[in-house]
Amino acid sequence: MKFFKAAVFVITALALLSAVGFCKLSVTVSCGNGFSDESSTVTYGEDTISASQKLVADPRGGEMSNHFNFQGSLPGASSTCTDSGGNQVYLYRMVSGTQSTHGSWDWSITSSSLPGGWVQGELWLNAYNAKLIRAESSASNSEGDKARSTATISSISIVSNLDNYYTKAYADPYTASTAQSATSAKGDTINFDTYATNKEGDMAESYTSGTNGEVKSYSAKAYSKWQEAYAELDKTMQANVPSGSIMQKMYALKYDLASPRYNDRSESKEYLKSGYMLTKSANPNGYADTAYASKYYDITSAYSSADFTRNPNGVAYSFASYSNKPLGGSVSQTVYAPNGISSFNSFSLTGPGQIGSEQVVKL
Amino acid sequence: MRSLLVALVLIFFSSDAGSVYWSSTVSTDSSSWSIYRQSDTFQFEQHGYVEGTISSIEFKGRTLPPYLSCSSDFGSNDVHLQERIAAREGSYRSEDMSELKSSADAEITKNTTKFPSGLYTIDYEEEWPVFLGAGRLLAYQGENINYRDYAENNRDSVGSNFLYSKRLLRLRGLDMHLEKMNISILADDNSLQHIEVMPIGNLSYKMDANATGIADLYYRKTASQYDIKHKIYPALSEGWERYYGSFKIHRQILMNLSSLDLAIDNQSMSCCLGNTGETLN
Repeated sequence: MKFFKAAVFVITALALLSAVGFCKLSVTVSCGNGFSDESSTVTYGEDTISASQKLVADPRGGEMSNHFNFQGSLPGASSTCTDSGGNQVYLYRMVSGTQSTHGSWDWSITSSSLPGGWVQGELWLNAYNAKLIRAESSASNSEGDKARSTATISSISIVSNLDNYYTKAYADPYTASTAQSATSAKGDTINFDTYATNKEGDMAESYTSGTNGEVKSYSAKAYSKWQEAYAELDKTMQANVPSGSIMQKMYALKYDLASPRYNDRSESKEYLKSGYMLTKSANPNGYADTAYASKYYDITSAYSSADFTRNPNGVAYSFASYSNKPLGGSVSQTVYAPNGISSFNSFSLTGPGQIGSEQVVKL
Repeated sequence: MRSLLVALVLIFFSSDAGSVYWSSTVSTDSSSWSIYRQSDTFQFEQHGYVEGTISSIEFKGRTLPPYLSCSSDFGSNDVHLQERIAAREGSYRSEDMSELKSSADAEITKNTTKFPSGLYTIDYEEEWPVFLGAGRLLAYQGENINYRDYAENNRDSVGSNFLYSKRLLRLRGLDMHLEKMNISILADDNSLQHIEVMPIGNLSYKMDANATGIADLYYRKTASQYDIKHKIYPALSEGWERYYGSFKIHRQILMNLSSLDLAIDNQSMSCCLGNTGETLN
């Protein structure tokens, strides 16, 4: 309880401190038609040097879209779409920087305008010379399915770039899904997280984390539905981290409602420090980077593959682990690549009569 | 004893079920402004005729006192008409017609620009047109009648009350048209500086009455500029009158909303009522 009170105090104090001395203007636009409601809020600040926005709302069609150019920081903006069936999507983006920061930003939220229909949100973002870039899309439905994509690029100096970023969220009564992609992301830290959970607690995730480098051609998606969750890194991702690191992880969790200590999980990831990494399609014998959890089939799986070029001082390793209910424990394996090794295949699998954790290194 | 004769025709067309809305809020650290708009795409027409004597009736062994009560509210997108009629024993005749056309299919656009000087311009465009026309001829003689009407077109309003009238002969025609609405806001990071809400349309109200009792007449024409400090749209012109006794009243009001084009509409609804043979003299 003391911790809770202290946490509330700290959060309140931070909120007050952030409000003092910071002037801002916010504009909210909402519309609806009885079946769906759309809403958008944009906050501008003194650090926003210039901005131009055109927003179009079509309440009858259950749509709202936006085109935006800016220079300077944009403190935050979000858009939501909710329908009468409990389907919901949420979009968010924030760019922090200086006067040299600039970019463009578009989004669109739509709905089927029918009971028991669907909702969808899309966001496009370009941001350059920023300190911090954050973008997010999420989807949920009344069944309890959820999916979320987040991207966070940050730098101590003004070097964060996010080029041609796109994210999408979709929800209908049976499915929640999300996807995100970027031509390039550059910064001191680069994080992409794409995951989905269902009502039963099953989860599948694709997580990318890099430092001091650039990630190109990133694309991931995830969905959840009844007793199932799935995530995939669905294109070849290139990571150039000559002085940093890159980690690509696929993770699946099958939640045990009766006893969480019997959760099944699979995890597979590749890690490279100082070098260049390619995932999936650059490795013709590799696995597609996927994570899958199914309560119906009583299985979890995670696969990942990467080719890499390691600098002389670099480190590369592959990691796979699983836990399985019948075993009641977990097994993990990590393989460091010795000199001359330039490729990993990793998979992790749990299921009835089908368990394993394996890494393959190639010359 | 003559019973009430009632004839009523209702026509209702709608392109889609359910109304649509949009709203917006602009806020700074020191001030805020909001708007809410609701409309629909439909057409509504009504013709009504009632003639008879308001009298007591026997119902399940009880005697119900003579009484008449009418209430109507209709409109769309801040174009509204309200009417209330309550009368006791007497002769009563009413002929009315009303028409409402509303469209809410067009998109709403909002353009926001922040300039390097720190100023913001925020412009909204709405094109959800509405036409409301209503005419009523009312003739009453008896113990007592109360009549109220109130018409509003996007904050501009006109209305009347006739209270405790033993004799009331009244002819009213009303046309209200809303074409579109533009909103323009000027602000900086600290405060809202200038807000103009500019509906384009008109309100035309014609009324002739010959009555006893109390008569209230009022109108209000508001400014398009929002008073940010007091959070109101101040009145440019406002009038209120009250009369006791027996009198003849002729009243004609024409308001154009955010426009200088004051063209009197000779085709108001009052001319469309049937030949009643009534005289207001």
